[in-house]
Amino acid sequence: MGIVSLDLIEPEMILAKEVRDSSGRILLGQGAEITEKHLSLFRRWGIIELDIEGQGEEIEEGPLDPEILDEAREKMKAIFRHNNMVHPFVEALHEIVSEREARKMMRNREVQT
Amino acid sequence: MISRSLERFLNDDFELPAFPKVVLRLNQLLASKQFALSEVGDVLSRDPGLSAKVLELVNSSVYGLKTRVETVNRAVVMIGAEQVRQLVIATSVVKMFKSIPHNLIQVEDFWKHCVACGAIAKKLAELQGEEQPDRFFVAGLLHDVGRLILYLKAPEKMNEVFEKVKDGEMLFHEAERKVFGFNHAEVGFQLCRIWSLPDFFRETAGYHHNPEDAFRHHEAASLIHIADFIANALQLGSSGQKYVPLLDDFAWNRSGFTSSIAEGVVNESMEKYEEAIHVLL
Ligand SMILES: [Fe+2]
Ligand SMILES: [Fe+2]
Repeated sequence: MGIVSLDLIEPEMILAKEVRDSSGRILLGQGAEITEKHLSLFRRWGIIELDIEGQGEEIEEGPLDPEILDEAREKMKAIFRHNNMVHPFVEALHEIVSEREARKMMRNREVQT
Repeated sequence: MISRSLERFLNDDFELPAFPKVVLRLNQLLASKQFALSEVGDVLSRDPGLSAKVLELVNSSVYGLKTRVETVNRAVVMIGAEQVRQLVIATSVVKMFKSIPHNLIQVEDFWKHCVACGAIAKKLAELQGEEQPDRFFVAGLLHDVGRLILYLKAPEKMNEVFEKVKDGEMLFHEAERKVFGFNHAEVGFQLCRIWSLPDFFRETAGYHHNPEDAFRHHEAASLIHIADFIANALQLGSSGQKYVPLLDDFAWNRSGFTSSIAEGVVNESMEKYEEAIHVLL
């Protein structure tokens, strides 16, 4: 999956994540094949980007930028504030969620550039 | 034990939404102890919407059956009558409380948290060699249901709770106790009782923040505690709390897990989670 701007989306692409309107209502479900009709509807509803299957996969698997990873570790420390960070399981989970966060940050930065 | 304040809260004019008729019929049928498996399927198939959801879940990676189940009758044979009843109850609870607008939380996010907890709990149960890992999925789905009732029934008080936890000093369930005199886990325990779910579910909902205090199901409550911890850390949905609750030493030691399970559990529950929210939400 990967976030793709609406202008670059073509029919037959597959939605990796459902599309919602501002009130949280699902407009089109995950796994749906996008049609021309959907695209014009999305434009009318002011939706600017979609999560598309098979896009941005390099980021999903490629190496993590060590600087971004450090930033993510720092950021995720905050949610564990009630926990003992040297507990081995807390430590392991902190690392897992930091890596996930780092990938998310890398994806966002890619979209911006 | 039920505290006076909790009793008053539950008896208040607030009416719990009613279960679909099918649930009541299933409860009656299974309580009679004398029934044919085909009767369970017959009752369930009178509600096509629920039947479809049950079939979808049973065929998803959550249950991980090797062959496709095409009919509810077959589902009853494959996973068992009581398991089908539990799944029907949990599915109905999600459905009953799904589309309620709320200004403190997104109800969908709330359920995502619960689905994540269920998917992870099932994976943990499999690791422990549990005989019936499926019921842990249901237990996870229901573990925080008491909190949803708090949101719906007492939004102003929940707002007070939010105020108390805002600066991150106090844990959410502790703040609930300060404001209400009881917390969502205790409400969950009572709801499971009202819904005539087995004591297993009462205790997993009732003691997932303090497994040590459970009556009989210390292991199961510990397992749900750990699954809840992981679901909160992964920030899959949210039951309203920003911070990961404190990992309980009793629960961790009782589980016998080591930290090396973390990565595998996260990776392998993710598919179950995605599929289950797709079916349920
Ligand atoms: Fe909880
Ligand atoms: Fe929870």
